[in-house]
Amino acid sequence: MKALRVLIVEDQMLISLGVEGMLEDLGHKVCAMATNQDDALAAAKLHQPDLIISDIRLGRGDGLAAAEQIRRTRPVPFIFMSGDHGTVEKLEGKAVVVRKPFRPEDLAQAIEKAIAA
Amino acid sequence: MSNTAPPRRTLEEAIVDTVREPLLVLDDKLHVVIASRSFYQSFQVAKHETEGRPIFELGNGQWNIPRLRELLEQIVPQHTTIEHFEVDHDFPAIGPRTMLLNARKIFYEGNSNTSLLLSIEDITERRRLEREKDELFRQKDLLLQEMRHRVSNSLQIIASILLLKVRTVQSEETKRHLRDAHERVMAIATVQDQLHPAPFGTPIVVKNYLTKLCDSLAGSMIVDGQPVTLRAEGDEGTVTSDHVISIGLIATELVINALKYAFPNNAKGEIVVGFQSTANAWRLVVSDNGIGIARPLPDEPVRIGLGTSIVEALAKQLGGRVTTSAGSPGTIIAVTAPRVA
Repeated sequence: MKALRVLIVEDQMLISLGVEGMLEDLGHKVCAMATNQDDALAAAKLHQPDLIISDIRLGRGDGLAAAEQIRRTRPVPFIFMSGDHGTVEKLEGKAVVVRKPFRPEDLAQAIEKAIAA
Repeated sequence: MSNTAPPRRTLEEAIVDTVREPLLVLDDKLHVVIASRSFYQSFQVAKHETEGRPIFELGNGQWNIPRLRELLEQIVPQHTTIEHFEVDHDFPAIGPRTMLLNARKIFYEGNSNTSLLLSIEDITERRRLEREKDELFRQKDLLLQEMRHRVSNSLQIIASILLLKVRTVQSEETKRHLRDAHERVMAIATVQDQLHPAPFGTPIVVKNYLTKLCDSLAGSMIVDGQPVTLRAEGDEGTVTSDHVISIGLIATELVINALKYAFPNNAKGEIVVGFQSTANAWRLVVSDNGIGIARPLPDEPVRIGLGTSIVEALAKQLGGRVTTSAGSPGTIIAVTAPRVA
C-alpha cells in the first residue's frame, strides 16, 4: 500500500498523538490534526487528505456529520473511532469503524478496509 | 313481631359505601342509582347532583368522556363484564387523572331490569411512578453508556502514551516493558468489551473472553514469521466480572512470559490457555511446549520478574494458588481458586 496522507479528527490530543505514532509505524503520514467539526472541514479542504480518521463524538461537533459534509465536496475514505459501543454496533457494516481502545493491528486492518471500500 | 330487615336500597347503599374504590351503580339507561362515598370524595361531587342523573351529565358533563361512552354504550352491552379499561381525562375540579375502569352487568331474577356496577380505580399516581421508574432506567442506561465511553477513551489515552513512549526510548528492554504494559491495558480493555452487553452481576463465560484475549495477544505479540501459535480452550464455566478481569491479567502475564522465554531462536511451538471449572473451584492453565524452566542452582539467587509478581498477587487476591510443573516438553503453570458464591 502506498503511503497515505491522513487527517486525524479527535478532541483528545493524546489519542491523536497515539494514532499518529501508529500511522507512522505503518508508513503513513499525518498531514493535519483537528479537534472539532469545523476545524475538520477546514483541514480537509486545505490538505486534501487520502484518508480521514475521525472520532465520532467530538467536544464540539460530530464526526459523522463532518464526514457527510466533507464527502459532499470530495469523496474520501473515512475510519471512525468510538468508545461508545452502542454507536459502534450501529455503524458496523455501514462504515469502517474501530472500537476504542484499539491496537496498531486493528488500525492497519481498518485502513485496508477503508481504502478498499 | 316487627320486620327488622333494612330496605333493599339502604342495604345496597351500605354495601356500596364500604367499597374503598369509587363505585357507581347505573341503571339500564346509564343513570346513577347509587354512588359510593369514595366516589364523592375522589371526584369532589355532591350526592344531590349525582343520583338519578345520567352519568355523562354529572358535574357539568365532566364524565362525558368519549372512551367511557364507548365502554358503556358499545362494549358492556356486548360483553357484560369489562376489566382494566384505562381512561385518561382532565377533570375541571381535580385535574388530569388516569383511571382503570371495571364494569359488570347485573341481571335480576323475575324481571328484565339490569344494573351496571362501575368501579373506578384512580391509577394516576401508579402511572406517574411507572413513568418515573422508566425515566430512571433510561438515565441509568445513559450513565452506564457514558461511563463505558469514558473508560474506553481513558484506556485509549493510556495505551497511546505507552506506545508513544516505546517510540522515544532507545533501550530494547525498556521498549519491551512498555509493550508489556500496553498489553496489560489492552487485556483489561478486552474484558470491558466482553462485559459491555451483560448487565451488572451477570456471570461471564471465561472461555469466550480468553479466546478473544488470545486472538488479540497473538495479533500484537507474535511477530510476523514467529512460528508460535496461541489458542484458548475450556469448558463453558463462568465467573463474576471482577474475577474475569483478574483471570485475563494472569493469562496475559503467563502468555507474555511464555512468548519471551519458551521458544528461543525462533523455535516452533504452541501456547494453550485452558480454563476448567467445577461447582466449587476454577482452574486456569497456561501451558507451552517450549524449552521448559531451568531450575536455579542451589546458591543462585531466585529472580522474580514483574510478571510473576503480578500473577502471584492476583492469585492471592482471588484466594487461589499458583503451581508450576514441567510439561513433556515445556512448562505448565496453573492457577486454582475457589468459586465465590
